[in-house]
Amino acid sequence: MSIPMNEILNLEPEFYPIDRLLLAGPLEDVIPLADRAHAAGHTPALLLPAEQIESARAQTKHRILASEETIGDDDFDLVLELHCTDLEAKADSLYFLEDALGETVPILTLTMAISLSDLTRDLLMPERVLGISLLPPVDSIKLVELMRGEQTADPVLQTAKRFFESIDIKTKEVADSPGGVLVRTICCLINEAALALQERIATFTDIDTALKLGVDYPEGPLAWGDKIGLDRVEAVMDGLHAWFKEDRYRCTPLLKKLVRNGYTGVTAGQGFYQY
Amino acid sequence: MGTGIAQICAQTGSAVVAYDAFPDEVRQAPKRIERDLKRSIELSKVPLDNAEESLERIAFTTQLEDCADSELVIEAVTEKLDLKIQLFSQLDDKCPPPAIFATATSFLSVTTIAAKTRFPERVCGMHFMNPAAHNELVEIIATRLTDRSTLEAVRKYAGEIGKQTVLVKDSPGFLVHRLLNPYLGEALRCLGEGVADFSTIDEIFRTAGFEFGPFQRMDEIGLDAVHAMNRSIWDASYKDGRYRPHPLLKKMIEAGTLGKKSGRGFYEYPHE
Repeated sequence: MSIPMNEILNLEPEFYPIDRLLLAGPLEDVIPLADRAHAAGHTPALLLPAEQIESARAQTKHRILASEETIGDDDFDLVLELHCTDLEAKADSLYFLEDALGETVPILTLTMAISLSDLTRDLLMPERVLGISLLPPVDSIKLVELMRGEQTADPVLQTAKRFFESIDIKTKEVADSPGGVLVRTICCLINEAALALQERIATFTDIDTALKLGVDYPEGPLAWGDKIGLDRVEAVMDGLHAWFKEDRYRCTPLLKKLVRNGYTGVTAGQGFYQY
Repeated sequence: MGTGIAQICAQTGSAVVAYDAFPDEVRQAPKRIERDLKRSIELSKVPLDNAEESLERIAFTTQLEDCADSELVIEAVTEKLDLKIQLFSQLDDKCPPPAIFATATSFLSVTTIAAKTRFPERVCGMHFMNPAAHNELVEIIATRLTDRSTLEAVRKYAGEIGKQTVLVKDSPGFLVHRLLNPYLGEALRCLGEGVADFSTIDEIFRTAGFEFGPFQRMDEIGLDAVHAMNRSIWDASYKDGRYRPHPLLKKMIEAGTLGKKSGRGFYEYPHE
């Protein structure tokens, strides 16, 4: 049995430092957040998948860890673990982090395609882990949902709030549930739009036009899916389906086909639309 | 809905016959339209004629005979299949082709309505969004029996009255309601499961760029209407779990808390 986090962290939340950050995950999500953190005066370090390290060096001046073996060489105040679609990489990453980090370092992990409870099941200290959900693309995030698990300690939540406020991102507390509120809903919307397209109910431009004009959606659902990344939409749908075992979360075959063929959206140059 | 459609058609230069079987409705309609005319002149993206001229272009009647020889019939009677079918069958002779019949139904099967008329190739749906005079969008609903020329003509006319159109195959919920469903439905589920309370959920969506949160929107539309819309998609899809309505909505309807119109829905609306 591990020691409750709030006993280890016998401090008032405002005294927890949030300066030295470790951001772990794929480069496209990690860099924008690192930029924002850096601009706010924090010191970010990046832990990237091995195959991305080379190209990341060309893109950013932030410090990049050579490998997960070196996590323990530094003292970090706060860790953000940002793997989204690759749940295996996520589990590995959390395992390494837990092993290498000091016991009092809070870990914030993306829980868009999996529940926090599933994710922390095999960890020794689930108290220090908090789920976060944010709607990609990361560089335009205005709000992050914080998902406290059954065991998450209060100081971890407070630290997370303070960190996101410091980089000008609002926070809302929601219960532990894959994708929180926004990501879950928007992905279901995109998934349904994909089904309407697959059934040839209307053309893609008409689908997007109808929803932008007829309802107050800030984006047409298909264009929105391309921006978020269709691989992520698929991962969220699969996560919801695995968690709820309900038909409403069936991933649309057209969406899967696009993802399998590499047409994952804006960054790939093609999704529902061509770029 | 009917008066809003009559209004926008008249304001963009069409001669309109506004028919309603109920004399009371016909008596009240001109006043209602007059009140709305000025507001739509301010809001419209196309040039609109002044209020007096527009109102003169509308002939109000309780006699179906007065509709004879109309080139386009837009039906917006109560959402009951029998009523709509009956109306079109009465008009089949009075307005022979190439006159076009459009139903403004928001959830009934356009195909069923079309198939019961004598010339189904001239029948399509025109789904106006509320408020019909101001919302920019019209969904044009095509059945398997609709002629391409019918769709083109209706699309052209909708453009003339300042609407953007999308062409949609007749299917449960068309596009807009079908895609409102996951938005409102997941929000309801998040509330029902205790993921967050409704005002938190609304705030999350507003921060993400939505003008209203889902619960504000449901209160605005009316929970009975949201439920009917959701229910019709669920029924039409042979009760696919994907579209299953949320029981919370039903409880709120049972309680008479229907949203803004009844003073209370998810939010309270004192003195409205």
